[in-house]
Amino acid sequence: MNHTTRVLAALLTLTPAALLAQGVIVAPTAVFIDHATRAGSITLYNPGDQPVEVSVSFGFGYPTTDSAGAIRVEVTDSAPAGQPAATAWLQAFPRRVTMGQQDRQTIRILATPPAGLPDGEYWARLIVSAKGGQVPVAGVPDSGAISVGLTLEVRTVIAVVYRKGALTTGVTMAPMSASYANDTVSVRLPMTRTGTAAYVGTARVRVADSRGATRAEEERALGVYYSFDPLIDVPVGPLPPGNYMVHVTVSADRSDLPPKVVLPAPPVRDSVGFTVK
Amino acid sequence: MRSTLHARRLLLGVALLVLPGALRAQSVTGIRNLTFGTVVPGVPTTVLQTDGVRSGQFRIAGVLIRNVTITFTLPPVMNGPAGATMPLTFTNTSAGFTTVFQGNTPFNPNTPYNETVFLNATISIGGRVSPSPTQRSGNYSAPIVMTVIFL
Repeated sequence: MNHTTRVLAALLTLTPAALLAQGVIVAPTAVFIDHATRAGSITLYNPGDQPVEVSVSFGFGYPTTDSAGAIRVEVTDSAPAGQPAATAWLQAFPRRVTMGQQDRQTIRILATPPAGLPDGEYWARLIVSAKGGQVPVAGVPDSGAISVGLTLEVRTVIAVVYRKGALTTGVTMAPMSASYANDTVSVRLPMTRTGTAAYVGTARVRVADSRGATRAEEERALGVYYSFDPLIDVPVGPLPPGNYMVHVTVSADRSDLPPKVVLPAPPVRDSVGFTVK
Repeated sequence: MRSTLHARRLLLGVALLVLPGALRAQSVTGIRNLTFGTVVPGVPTTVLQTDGVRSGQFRIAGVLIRNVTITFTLPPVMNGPAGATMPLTFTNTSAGFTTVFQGNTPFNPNTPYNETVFLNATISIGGRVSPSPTQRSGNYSAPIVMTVIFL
């Protein structure tokens, strides 16, 4: 049993309810393609007992934050001018397939970059659309019946990263801010990426009281492509009046990605205080 | 709080120990269709996202503490026989997000919704259909598309 089969088999064990669902399991969670091989793949699995129509396409987008710190990814069909996009020269085979119950399908991703492509990292988003059959609702069995059916379609969007040459990455962090309200400490982390590749890592937030004792912790996976200023809410419960500190460490590690695809970078640490009156 | 994060870390550690590569896959699946049942002309019918039988339900599974952005493509009308349409609306609490560590959190399916998923999450959706008093009888249908972007 190869690695991918073990992954899929184990996932089914963890999510038995998926056997009755419309949709597909997609592995891995992100695709990294090296210029030397110019190819990658994903594996799809239909765990349900109904056929699923699957289509694969590419778009462009990366995580950004708005003024309130909410994270968004706007996926467009094509990349704006000047962006390091791989969208135009990636192809998936096959692009459309109907998967029967408990079918498995490998989708190969081939890259045909333009000649003379400069060293760097190029981005795209892979969109896997899965559509099951329409399920009409049975109405009353007479000629005046109005029955309503809604077709479900699910789309899974994952990152595709193409890398050429030696790459560097890192983040710098502007002064953080923290506030407490409604039993929650809200932290803003204004970050800017450095180097030639997106920063992939994890932010770990620790709220401590005046004695240094930890009151709450939170961690978030990060993808910093340019500037990124997310709001991280840390539930802490009711805090007695006093002075508190928020300690943040941003490090280049991810528990959901193979270590070999996460580019190394020195950790960044910062702290900020707040007072509960 | 600390106990919640520690519980997540414990589960994550056990999972990775037992199935080291197993959780590097994700699934987004439709579990249950949004069902309005019998619809009477002239009488709006609402299904709450908390309805345990009729609400639509999706599930995100196999994710390790990932930020996701959830968006819906929601049809304004359903299409029926001979070009007839029926209005379909969604309010700012027509969707809900639930995980093992977090009870149902309502959200607006008309705008992008950002959350953190640990292993599994359930997204539910309700809605409201408004048939006219002279609504043509027959089958009405529309697609609901849920897009999950893994950040």
